[in-house]
Amino acid sequence: MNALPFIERSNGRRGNDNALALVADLAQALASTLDLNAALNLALARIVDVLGAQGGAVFLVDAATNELVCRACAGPVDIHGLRIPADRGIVGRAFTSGQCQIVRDAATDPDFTGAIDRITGVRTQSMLGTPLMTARGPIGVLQVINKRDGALFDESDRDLLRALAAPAALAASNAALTRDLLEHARIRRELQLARRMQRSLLPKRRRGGFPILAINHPAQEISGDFYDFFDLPDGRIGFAVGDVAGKGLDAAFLMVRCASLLRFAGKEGLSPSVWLARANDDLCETVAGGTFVCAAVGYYDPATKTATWANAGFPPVLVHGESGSELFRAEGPPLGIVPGMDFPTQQAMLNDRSLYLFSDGVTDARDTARNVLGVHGVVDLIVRHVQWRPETRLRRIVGELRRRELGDDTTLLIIEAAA
Amino acid sequence: MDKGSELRRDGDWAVLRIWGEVDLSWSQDVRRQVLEAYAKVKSLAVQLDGVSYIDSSGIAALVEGFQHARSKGGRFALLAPSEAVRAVLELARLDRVFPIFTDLAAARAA
Repeated sequence: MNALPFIERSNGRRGNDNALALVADLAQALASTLDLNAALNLALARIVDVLGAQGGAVFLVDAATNELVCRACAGPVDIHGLRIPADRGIVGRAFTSGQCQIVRDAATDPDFTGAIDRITGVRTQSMLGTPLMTARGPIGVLQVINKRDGALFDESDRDLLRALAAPAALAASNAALTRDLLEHARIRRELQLARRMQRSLLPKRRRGGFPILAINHPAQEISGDFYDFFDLPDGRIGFAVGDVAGKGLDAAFLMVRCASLLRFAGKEGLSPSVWLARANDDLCETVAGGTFVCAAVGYYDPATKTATWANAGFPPVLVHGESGSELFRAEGPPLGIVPGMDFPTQQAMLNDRSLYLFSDGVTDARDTARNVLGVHGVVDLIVRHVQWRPETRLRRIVGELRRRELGDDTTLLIIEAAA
Repeated sequence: MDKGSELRRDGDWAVLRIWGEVDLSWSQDVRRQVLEAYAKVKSLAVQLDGVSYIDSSGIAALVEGFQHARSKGGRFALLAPSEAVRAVLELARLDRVFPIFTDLAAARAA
C-alpha cells in the first residue's frame, strides 16, 4: 500500500514515518478517549507542534444557536468557550463549504473578520482550517495559525491537517452520540417514572371485585386516557373515563388535572350533567388552545341495577346482554372547547346486561389493511367475547385489540351487576 | 395515501382545502396552516370534502382554529365534510361546536 504519500515533505523536517506515527497516535488517543475535551487539547498541542504553528483551535458547532464554539485551543491566549457565528469568517467558510482553507495573508481575505484577533491580541497572518466532517455533515473546524518560522502553510501541511481532522471528527461525533444516548436514557427513565405515577392515580381493583372493571393501555410511555371509579356513601359507584386529545407530556399533565377535577366533582354526588358542565367550564378557563377532553361520567346504583351518565364527545356507550343491545351516543361535545354547554343525562337499566365504555383508541385500532375497527367493529368484538367472565372477557378483548395496530391510548371499562 | 392542502382567498375569507388522511403524522402541519391563514385573514373556512379519515389530533387542529377565531373576533367554518369526517364530528357531538356549511356562500350568509 502506498503509505499516505501526501504527507511527504521535501525539507525532511517531518518524515513520512513521523507523520504517519502522529496520525496513528492521535487516532488511537481520540478513539479510546472518554474525555473528549482533554483528548482534543492534547491532540491539538501535538498538531500545532508538528505543523510548527503559533496556535490552533478546535471549534464545534452548537446547532441550537448556529455558532462555532471553541472546545480546545493551543497557543498564547486561551479562547476556550469563545463563540463565533458559524457562517462568518474564514473558520465559518471552512465549516459551511466543507472545504479545507489555506489563507496565506489573512488581512487580504474578504471573509477575514479579525474577531478572534481582537480577543486574543494575536495578529493572524496565515491560517489553515479544515472542516471536521462526519456522515451527518460538518460538525466543526480544526484550525492552526501563523507558522513560527514565518513561512506559509502549504499543501502538505493542509493534507496532514486533513488526515488529523478525520479521527478528531470521529471522536467528537462519538462523544455527541454518547451524550445523546445518555440524554435519551435519562428522558426514558423520567417517562417511566411519570408513567408509574400516572398508573398510581388509576383506582385499584375494587375490593370484592365486580361490578366495575377497567383497563388502560397507553400507546406510549404516558397516557392521555384515564379512568376512575369510587364508592359513594349511599352505595352508588361513581365512574369516569376520559381521553385527552394528544399523546405527549402536555396531554399527560392535562389528564392528571382532568382526572382529579372529575373525581372531586363526582364525589360530591352531583348529577352527571352538572358534573360535566362544571368540569367543562373549569377546563375552558384553563386549557391551552386546541386541547380538549372527551369524557363520560356517571353512577351505577347496585340497588336498582341502573346506570346514569352523561357523555361529552366520548364514543357511544354500549349496553349489551341477552335481553338486548343499545348504543347511546354522546349528547354533549368534548370538554374544554366552549363554556356553558349542556350535557344531557342518559340512563339504562342494566339488569342482566353489561355497560361498556371504550375510548377512540379502541374504535381507531387498525387491521393489517389499515381499516379502522369503528364503533360497530368494537360492538362485534365485545359480543364475540360475552360468554367469558368479565375479567377474562376484558383481557381477551384487549388481547385481540393488541394484535391490531394501536396508534392511540386504549381504555375499556365494564360495569355489570354481580352474578 | 394521497394527501395535501391548498389555500385560496375568496374576498375577505380564506378557504383551506385539505384532503387525504388527517392523522398524527400530518395534523401538526394542518394546525400550522390554519394558524398561518389567520395571520392574513379574519375568517377561515376549512374544506373537508376530500378527507378520508380524521383522528383526534386532526380534530384538535380544527378546534384550535375555531378557538382562535372566537378569541380574536374572527370566523371559522367547516365546509362540505366528507361522510367520514361527518361521522366523527357527529359521534363526538362536535357538530354542536363547529359551524358546518355546504359551501362558502352559505358560511358567508350565516
